[in-house]
Amino acid sequence: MDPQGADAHPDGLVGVIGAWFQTEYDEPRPTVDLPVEVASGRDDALCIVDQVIRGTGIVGRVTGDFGAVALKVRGTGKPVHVRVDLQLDDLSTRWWSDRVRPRRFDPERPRLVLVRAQGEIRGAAVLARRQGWRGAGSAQASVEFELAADDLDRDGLLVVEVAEAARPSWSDNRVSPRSALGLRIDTILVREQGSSAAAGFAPTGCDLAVLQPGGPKSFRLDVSSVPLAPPVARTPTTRLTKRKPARAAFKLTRIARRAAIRAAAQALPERPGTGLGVLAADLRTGAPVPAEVVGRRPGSFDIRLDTVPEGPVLIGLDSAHPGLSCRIVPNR
Amino acid sequence: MWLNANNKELQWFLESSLVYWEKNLPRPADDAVILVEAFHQDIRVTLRNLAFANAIRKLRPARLIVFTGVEDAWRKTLWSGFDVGIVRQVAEAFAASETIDVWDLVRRGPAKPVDEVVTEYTDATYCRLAKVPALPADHANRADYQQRLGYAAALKAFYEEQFDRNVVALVTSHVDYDQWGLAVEVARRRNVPIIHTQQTGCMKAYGLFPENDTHTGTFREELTRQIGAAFETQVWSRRDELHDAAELIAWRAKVNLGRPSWWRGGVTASVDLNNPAERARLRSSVVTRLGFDASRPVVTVFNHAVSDALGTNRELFASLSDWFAETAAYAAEHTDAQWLFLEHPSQALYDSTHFFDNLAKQYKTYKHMAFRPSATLSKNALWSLTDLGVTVRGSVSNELPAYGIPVIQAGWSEWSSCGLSTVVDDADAYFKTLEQSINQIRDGVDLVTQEQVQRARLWLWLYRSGTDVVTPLVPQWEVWPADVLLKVIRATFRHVESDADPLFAAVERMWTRKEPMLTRTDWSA
Repeated sequence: MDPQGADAHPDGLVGVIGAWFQTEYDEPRPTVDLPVEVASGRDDALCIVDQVIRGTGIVGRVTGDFGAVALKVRGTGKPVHVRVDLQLDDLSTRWWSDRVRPRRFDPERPRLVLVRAQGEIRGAAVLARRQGWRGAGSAQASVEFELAADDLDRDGLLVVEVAEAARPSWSDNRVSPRSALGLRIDTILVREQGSSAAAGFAPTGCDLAVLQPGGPKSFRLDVSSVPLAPPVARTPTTRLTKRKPARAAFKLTRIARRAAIRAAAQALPERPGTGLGVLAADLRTGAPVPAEVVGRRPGSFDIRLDTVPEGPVLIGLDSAHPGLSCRIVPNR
Repeated sequence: MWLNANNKELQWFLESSLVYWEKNLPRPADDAVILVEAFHQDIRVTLRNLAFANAIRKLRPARLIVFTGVEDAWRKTLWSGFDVGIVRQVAEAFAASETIDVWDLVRRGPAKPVDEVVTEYTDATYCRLAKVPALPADHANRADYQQRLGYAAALKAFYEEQFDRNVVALVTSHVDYDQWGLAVEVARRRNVPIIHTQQTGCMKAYGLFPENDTHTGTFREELTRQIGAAFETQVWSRRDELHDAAELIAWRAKVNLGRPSWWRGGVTASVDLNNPAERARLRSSVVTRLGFDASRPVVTVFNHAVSDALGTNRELFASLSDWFAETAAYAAEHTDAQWLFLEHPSQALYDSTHFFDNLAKQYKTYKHMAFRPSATLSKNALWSLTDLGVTVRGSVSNELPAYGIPVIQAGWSEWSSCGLSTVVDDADAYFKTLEQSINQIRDGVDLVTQEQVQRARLWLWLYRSGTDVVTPLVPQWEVWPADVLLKVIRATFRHVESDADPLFAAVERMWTRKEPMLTRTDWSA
């Protein structure tokens, strides 16, 4: 029984502990060559999970306020491009509701999460589900970023983490608390730099949007109507409410409430008014970012930031408008 | 009662059990009795006691007397569904001659004298049932405390009376609190062997035999010493022979097979880390969640269930909460390390005073200290963070050293004499050891020796394999719910011949050799 790799970090504090983590029954782990697309929790490249339940058709689902996975990939000594696909689906909201136990009539709110890699913030995502007559569709978001050559070092371990953002106070009650909880990590793609397609900017489905680090300094923000979200379903917990007739009644109430909210939004959709303003905040610290509205048209703003953002920036309307959706359109 | 079985299933079980034991047990020729407690609501606990007692009865024919009952405070805090009627039925099915509702007698009986032992057990029981970390200042004037004191005195008097019989052994699932602890106290004074069954694995039990009892400490202190000695002579001496088995169990514990942390299920209980580099990489992610710096030492302090079995083994501080609070006060002044205080996962069952949350509030502004519920960190995260673990008697003092993470123990546990962790003798030494260890971690000194790792892995083996007797008469703890459990045991009673059942052979070995642990195999062979 010899300690494993005790000399891997001869210089560091953490180099000592870990030498005995391995047992004689641990299997050797393969290091996967680039490009690699991990789309299953059973993939050989996925070697560590931290508060993530491995999936079969997806990488996994986050079980806590933070969730991380580590891939063992062989760096090529060159910078690499990483894409992380996230998804908010029905099960995500159910998991969230089971653990957070929101108030009964609080509407479903968008999720706002950071994506970290190797401990550094690389991007952020806002996910809001599109509400329909019978249910809500899933919301997807991809966060793409570049890693410098020395970020994927000799150990070949790439840690990708979905984490809580440092939110500004104006986003209170506009974003889900514990946003990462229940989110799906669908796919992680790692490839050599240079083959990146330009990221698309889709409507977010809510009155918030995210500008990634290095994103455009000036852009257009289109605002359009979306149906309002009904409250999140809660799993019954008492002996009485767990019974089948009670559950059926709850389900009927939910369907009726969803239909009523949807019908009201259809009849009287919220329109972007003239008095709207825009706020921006750095999601690394929650600090405000000066954002100037340089042009206004019905349902659209031209916005300019002082500098190109270094971290992810949250852009939002200056007051809560759950019936509006934002879309960032970079100026060409 | 945790025996919500189908009534038919229960009846089949009871019938087959009675037939089995009636034919398998010799008739007693004298007035000898074996005393067995059945105070726990979970039927798995009582089944273990009864099975062990009957295994002794095969060696030493005796009548079986079962103590049961439930008192209001016990019912309110823990066992809302306790059913004395079911206990009676089960006891009879295990060929018991008498089932005594102890609490009924205690409630109805006259007042009995209070002595030091009675007060000691009352204090611990009062804290447990009121879910408070320490006695309130005015406890002596409280009616509920006085009632508990009266109960304890009556319990002790009852046990004194019972031990006037020709008692072969006391079989008990617990050794703490009034209803169990006082029986153990009386048994020790009357030189009666005590068998302490365990609520995990298949059939696990410790034994304190009068011949080996030095009477210099609590039941658990005596056991700690004896387990340490047995580990040294029987396990450590054959480390080469056991090497493979210990490695396999270390791997199984790592991937959460066998539920090493019984309260932690699913993926957050499995460890994927294999080397320092992987640990360092994950650590750099995890530290940001706590506002820590990856390059500075992280000391993780594991809180206990604060009212759990107070004062039953050697501890350096007056109470578990004193230890935790004083460690936090020390941490506040020692910014050379970062301190992660973890709450016990079952604390809600043990504390009604929000002790942990209040402490967390008190140190809210200290950036080098973080307070978290333990389940909010996966084991991967925890192992990547922890440079030094601190506990009084928690199982982390076995688990972490098995994978090379040092642990300081501010008290004794079952395995604390086996040389896995650093066990300190007094509070001064505790704080000195903390300081010294933090300095050594900063200097890059490895605090865990290869021998400690080996010992810790061997203890894992001893605890989960060496002292876990696999017998069809006692299905593994995880065989549950009740219907399944009863069906499995019924199949044994009806269809398995009893010759050379491992339970009988193992109990015979332990009983005749007066060993402190029931063992799966014969170590002298």
